[in-house]
Amino acid sequence: MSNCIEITNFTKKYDLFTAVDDITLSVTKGSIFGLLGPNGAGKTTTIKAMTGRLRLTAGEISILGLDVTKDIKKIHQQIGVVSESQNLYEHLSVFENIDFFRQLYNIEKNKTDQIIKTLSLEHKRDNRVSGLSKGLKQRVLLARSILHSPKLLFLDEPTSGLDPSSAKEVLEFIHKIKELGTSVFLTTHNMEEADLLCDKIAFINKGSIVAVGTPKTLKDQFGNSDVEVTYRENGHEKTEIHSLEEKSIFHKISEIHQAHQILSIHSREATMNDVFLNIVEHSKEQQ
Amino acid sequence: MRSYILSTIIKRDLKETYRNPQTLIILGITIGINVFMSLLFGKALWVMTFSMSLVMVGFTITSFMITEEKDKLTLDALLVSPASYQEILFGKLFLTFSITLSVTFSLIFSLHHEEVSVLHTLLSVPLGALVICLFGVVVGLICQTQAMLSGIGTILMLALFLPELLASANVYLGYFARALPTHHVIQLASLGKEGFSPLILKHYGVLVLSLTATIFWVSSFIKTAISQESHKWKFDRRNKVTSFILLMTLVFSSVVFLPLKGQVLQTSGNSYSYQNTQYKLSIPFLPKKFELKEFSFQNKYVVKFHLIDRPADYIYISMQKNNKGISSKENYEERLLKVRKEDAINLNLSRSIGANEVVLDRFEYETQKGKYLYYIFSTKDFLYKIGIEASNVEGESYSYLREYLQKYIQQMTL
Repeated sequence: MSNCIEITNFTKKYDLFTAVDDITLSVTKGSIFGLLGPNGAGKTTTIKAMTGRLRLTAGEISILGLDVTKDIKKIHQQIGVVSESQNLYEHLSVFENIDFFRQLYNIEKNKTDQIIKTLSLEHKRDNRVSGLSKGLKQRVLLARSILHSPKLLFLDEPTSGLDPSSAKEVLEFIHKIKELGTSVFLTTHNMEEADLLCDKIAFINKGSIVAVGTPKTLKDQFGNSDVEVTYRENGHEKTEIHSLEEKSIFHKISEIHQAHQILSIHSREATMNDVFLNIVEHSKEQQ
Repeated sequence: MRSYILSTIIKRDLKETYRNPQTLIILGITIGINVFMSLLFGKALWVMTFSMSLVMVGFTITSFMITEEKDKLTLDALLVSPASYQEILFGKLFLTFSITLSVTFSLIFSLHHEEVSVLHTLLSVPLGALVICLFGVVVGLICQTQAMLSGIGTILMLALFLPELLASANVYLGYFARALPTHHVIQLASLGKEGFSPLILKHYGVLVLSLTATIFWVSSFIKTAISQESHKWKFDRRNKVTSFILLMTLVFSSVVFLPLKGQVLQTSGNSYSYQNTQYKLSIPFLPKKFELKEFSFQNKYVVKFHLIDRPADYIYISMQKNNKGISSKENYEERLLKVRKEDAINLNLSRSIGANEVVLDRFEYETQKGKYLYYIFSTKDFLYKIGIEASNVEGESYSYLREYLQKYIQQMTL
C-alpha cells in the first residue's frame, strides 16, 4: 500500500528555537494516523507545515505525492483541515458557512444539503453558528472539511473541549470517514481516543519523534501490565502491585494467599496513558 | 484571480457587513452624523462629509474585515481552501471600495450637489477611495487582533480624518492635510466647476501619483503577509523601502500645494503692502500695527489683520468661490436675515452696482458683542468680503480700523 504522507528530515526553526527537529514519518493511504505529544511538542507545527501554512526550514514533505513547497494549491483541493480553533463565521448560518466553502471548491449546489444531512445538522441548517454548542460547531467544521470529498483529512485536536457524548459522535464520524477510504491524520491529547481510533501512532516530544508504531506494539514496548492483589493483614486492607514481567509473580501471589486472606486480584492492561508517560519520562532522562 | 472565488468572497463579506454590529455602527455613524448635521444646521460641512465617508467607511471597514478574519482564525480555514491570499484580499477590497463609493456618492449628491462638480466628484472620489481602502488593507494586515486594530486603527483613522477638518486652525495640520488623498478629492470636487484648469490637473496628478505609490506599498505588504508565519508582524526590507517611497510621495503632495501665502513688501520708504499673487490681492499694511493671519477652509480664503495691541479687533478680507451660484440678491437677503437674528442696532445698509456687474453691498451695525462693518463684492463666480470686527464697543479700535478701511478701500486691488 502506498503512502499518502511522506515526511523526510523535516525541521522547523523560529529564529533560535527549534519547534520540530529532523522528523521522518510516513502515513499509509486509508489509515488513521495519530500524532501524540505533550503541549508544545510540535504537533500543530507539523500539521501546519503539512498543510502549507508554514515554510520548512529543512527537509521535504510530500502530501498525496505532491510537494508542499511547490504544489500547495493542488494539495488544498484534495485535503480537508479541521483546526483546533472552531474557526467558523459566527454571523452566518450553518448552511451559509458550509455553502461558502462549497462555492470556493466550485462543486455542485446540492452537496451542501447532502453534507448537512450526513452530519445530522438538518435541524440547525438555518441557525446562526454563534448560537450553536461546541459539539455542533465541531460537526459543522467536519462537514466543511469533507465537503469536497478529500483524500486526506487533517484533524487538530478534534475532540478537544467536547463533552463525552459529542466526542463520541466525532470519533464515530472519523471511523465512518476512514471506511469511505479517506486517510486521516490527527493530533490529540486524549490517549484513550488515539488507542481506539488510530492504526498507527507517533509520539512527538520537544520536536522529535520518540516512538512510532501501532497502539499494540507501543503498549508492548512502553506500557506496563500489572497484577494488583488486595489482601487483609491484621484486620487492615493492603494492596500490592506486581509487574507481569516479574518471573516470580505466581510464587509471590501464592505466598500472599498462604499468609493472608486475598480480597481481590485484578490484572491491569497497559494503556496509551502509560505509554505516553513512560515515553515522556524516558526522553527527560535521556536529556 | 478566479472570478467564482472573488464573487464568493464578496458575497460572504457583504453578508458579514450587514450582519455584523461593528460594521453597521461604522456605517451608521458616518451616515447618521451627516444627516443629523444637515437637519440641525441646515447643511453639514462638505469637507466633513467627504472625510467621514472616505476614511470611516473606506479605511475602517477594510482594515476591520481583514483583521477580523485573522482574529477569529477564519483566515486559516480560507488559506487551506482553493482561495489564495491575494484573492481573499482583493475580494474584500472590491467590496469595501464599492461600499465607500456608494456611501460617499449618496451623501455628497444628496447633501452637497449644489456645491460640488458632478464630473470631478465622479472622477476623483474613486481615486481617493481606492487609496484610502488600500491604506486600510495594510493596517488590516499589520494588526493581528481586533484589540490591536481598535488602538492603532483608531489613531490612524483620526490622522486621516481630522487634519482636513482642522487645517484652517493650524498651519502644520494644513501641511499634513494636503499630503492626504482626501484633501485632493475635496479640492477637485469643490474647485471642479472651473473645468480642467492647470490647478485641477495638478490635483489629479498628485492623486494618481499617491495611488501608484500606495499600490506598490500595499503589494509589498501583501507579499510579506503571504510569507509570514508568526502572528507578530515583522517588517521586512521591501516594506521599509516602499513605506519610505510612499512617505516621500505624500510629502511631495503637500509641498506642491503649499498655499501661496501673501507677502508683506516694502513698497517705498516706510510704506508696506500685503500682496497675494494667487488671489491678485494688494492692500497697504503697517507691520508695527498689525499682525497677519491667513487660512483657507473649504472654498474660502481668509486673511486677517489683527491689531497687535488689541488682537480681538481686526480687519479681514475673505475670498470665496461662489460655487452655489448664489445671486447677489439672495446673498444680500441671507446676510440681512443673519444680521437681524443677532439683534443688530444702528443698522446701516447700502447697495450699488459697479462695472462688470459687480454688486457692492455695505453692512454696518452693532450688536452686544461688538461693532461690524463690511463690504461685499459679489459676482456670479466669486464673493469678496472686506470688513472690520471690533469687540470694543466704546469705539476706540473701531474708529481707528474704520478710518483705516475707509481710507484704503478705494486703493485695494482685487
